[in-house]
Amino acid sequence: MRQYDFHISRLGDYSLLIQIDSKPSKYLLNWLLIKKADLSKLLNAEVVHTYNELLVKDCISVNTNLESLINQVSAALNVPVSSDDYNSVVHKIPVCYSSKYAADLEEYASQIKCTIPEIIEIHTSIEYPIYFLGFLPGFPYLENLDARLHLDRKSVPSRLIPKGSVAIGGTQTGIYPQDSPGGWHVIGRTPISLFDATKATPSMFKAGDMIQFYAISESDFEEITTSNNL
Amino acid sequence: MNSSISILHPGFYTTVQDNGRKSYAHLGVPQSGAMDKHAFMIANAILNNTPGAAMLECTLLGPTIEFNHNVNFVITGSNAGATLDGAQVMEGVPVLAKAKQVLKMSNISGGSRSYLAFAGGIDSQTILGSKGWYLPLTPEGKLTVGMELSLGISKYGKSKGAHLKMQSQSGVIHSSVATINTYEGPEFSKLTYNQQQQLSDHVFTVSNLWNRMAIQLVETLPNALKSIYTSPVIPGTVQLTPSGKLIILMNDCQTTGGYPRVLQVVASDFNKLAQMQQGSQFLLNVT
Repeated sequence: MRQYDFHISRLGDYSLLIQIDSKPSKYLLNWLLIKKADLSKLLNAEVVHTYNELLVKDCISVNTNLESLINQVSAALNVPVSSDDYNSVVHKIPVCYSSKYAADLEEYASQIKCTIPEIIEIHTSIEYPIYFLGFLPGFPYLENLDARLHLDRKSVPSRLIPKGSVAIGGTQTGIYPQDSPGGWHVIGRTPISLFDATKATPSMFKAGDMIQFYAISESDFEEITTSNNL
Repeated sequence: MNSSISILHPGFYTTVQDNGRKSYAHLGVPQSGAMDKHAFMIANAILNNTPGAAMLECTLLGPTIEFNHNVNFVITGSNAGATLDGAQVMEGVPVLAKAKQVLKMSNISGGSRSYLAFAGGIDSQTILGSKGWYLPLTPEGKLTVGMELSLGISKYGKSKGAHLKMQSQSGVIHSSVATINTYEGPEFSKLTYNQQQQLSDHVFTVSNLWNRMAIQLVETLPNALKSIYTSPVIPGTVQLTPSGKLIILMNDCQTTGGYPRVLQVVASDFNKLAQMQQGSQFLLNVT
């Protein structure tokens, strides 16, 4: 049975912020996903979660009795979660690590004192849980990056990181769903499109899913890109 | 056939906006929508549009457009110095433009944003529940020369109720130093007493970094506060960076952020921020 201490406050005029008194973990993630679904149903509101917070959006209006709302939310959060099991979808994501698609890989390799084949080996050997989506539409916050691959963000961010770039920033790895400025080290690129705003389910990923990367050649990359555009 | 307008000159930065995207923040999708909600809502009310109908949000310099059909329109928000075939157009007063007439907006004064609304609203593509533009989610990011925008079906003049007209624009700032009311943010209590005092004492100035995503302030706050775990943010959240910069998040902001959230702007004062530009000054009042 899992329970956490939490603190509820208002964020602005319309939303409630729930801060959980715990460091991020996969157990907390599981708890957050369950509570997010519960609160969303209970209050008919959108709930955003991050590592250790829940934001219940636009649940306060002029007619809201704040005290009773907070009591209702507290009661829902205090129901213990009985299982730590979460049935995760694993997404296998192809990545081309050749220099054509990995602007920073050589510099990055020399800074962390690893060879490029070692980096690919380590980066593709791990399943990364998606903690939440944020920063850009469809951008997954991933955990579990091997400590040998950690490297602080660039001191001067790149003006353009191309769509599909797979990158390392500090203790995290991630994929850029669209062109964006950014301070992470680009070590490869995927030809898969992660986010399509015209679809009913625009994001390929959801929080709680897992990602595993696998290496592909430049010609594989081009083939997948071509078939995407057919 | 739907009415339409053609863009002869795009202005400085003109976008299509409505009430924004709800329910997609959990996927990292910004809320977007009109910055000055007050001016936005009044424009739709005057034209008897649905409350969330899409219109043009014009920044600093408005566009020049040609009407392809007879269309009722209105301008709200800051003064846009508009003329229709050379005749002055008053803010807040609906006007019937005839086909082939040209509406020319000039430098925007009194604030930074004017709203140009058409009876029936702009019928741009709906993407994730909004007709508003946000690159690269939507195919277009801002007006360009030669674009043609289709309009929805006008309901102007069809209701028996009173018609709304207004002469003054209450959303626009008139005093030289505005006061922006704020709540304490989630990390406010982690600030030192001195930092908390400085937030209330300083006159703050909008820097050259101001857009639909955020307003960065010139004045800094000595800061030893560390970054936090990436956490939810919303428009109106005031972040404090490790170098002491204050950033007020606006409509197109990210959904999550890692800087301490020291203040949260009171919703009713957000429209004042929406009308600011580089050099605008204000006091922060922490309630």
